[in-house]
Amino acid sequence: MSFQFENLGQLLVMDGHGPFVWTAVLVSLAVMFWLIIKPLADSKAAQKNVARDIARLTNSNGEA
Amino acid sequence: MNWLTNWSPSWQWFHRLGSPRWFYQTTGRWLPWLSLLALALLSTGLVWGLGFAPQDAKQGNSFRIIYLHVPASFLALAGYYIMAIAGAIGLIWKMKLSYMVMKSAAPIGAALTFLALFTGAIWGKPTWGTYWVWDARVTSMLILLFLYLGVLALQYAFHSNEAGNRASAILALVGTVNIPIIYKSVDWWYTLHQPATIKLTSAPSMHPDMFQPLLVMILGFYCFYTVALFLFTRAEILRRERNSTWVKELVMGGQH
Repeated sequence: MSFQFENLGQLLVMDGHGPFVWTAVLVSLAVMFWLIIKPLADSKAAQKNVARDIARLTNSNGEA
Repeated sequence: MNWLTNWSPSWQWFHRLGSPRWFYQTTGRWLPWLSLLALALLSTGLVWGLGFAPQDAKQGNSFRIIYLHVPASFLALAGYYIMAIAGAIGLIWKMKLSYMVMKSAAPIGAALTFLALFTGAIWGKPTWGTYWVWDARVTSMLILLFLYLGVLALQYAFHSNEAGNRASAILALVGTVNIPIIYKSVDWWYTLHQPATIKLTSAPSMHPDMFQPLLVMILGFYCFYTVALFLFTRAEILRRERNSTWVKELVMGGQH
């Protein structure tokens, strides 16, 4: 097993197929990144909502 | 009902699995390791496939798209089974966690099906001379994307969660008829799409030097899928169980 390209420039160009291959790689990575970030952001938002509910409840109890 | 409690090991397991709290805590312990494994496999497979695997005799370097296209397609299909089975369990045993898994599988499956179609289109241009053909494999994958989007849309089409869940589950189950069509499309119809590279029943039609990184990528995608499904389901659990004591305790505990 050896590196198939003479240098990093060749790896980017890939004999003219570079734009196709690298677009596929970048779009795939972007979509996969979104699949991780989205649920993490949703979880955070859900926890924030619960915290706000608890705070509201404690405040209203305190006033009463 | 004594027999039910006596015959407990398997049922206890089943009921524990049905508990959102148990799922949340257990997956929380697994997630760091699974994420690490997914990251290691995906980065190894990608560097290996893009830089070190030999180029294809006919297709040249464009064939390297296979290292994303095939794993994404694999999981787009496997993810549909997971969604449909979760929907069936929800319908039969009224298990709410199961519905949450079904709902979570929909956006992930849609994203992976999109990736399969997108990487396929990009691969098609230098290989077939066109980004898109209305051939059997490509069209049946497009239908898969619409099925995923349909399940997702039905979740939001009803006022009650229960009605949305049941409608989604039924659509997911009906849609499974499309899966064998996708698998067999390259055999049943004349198509531009090449036949399956990997079959369980025979040796891969690829040189081992090309096949090994593909295998690493497929394993990496399986781990990645599991991580994503856990994360989406955990977010859904927090949303739906927001009034339960354990979620409140969890949030309070996290604030200290």
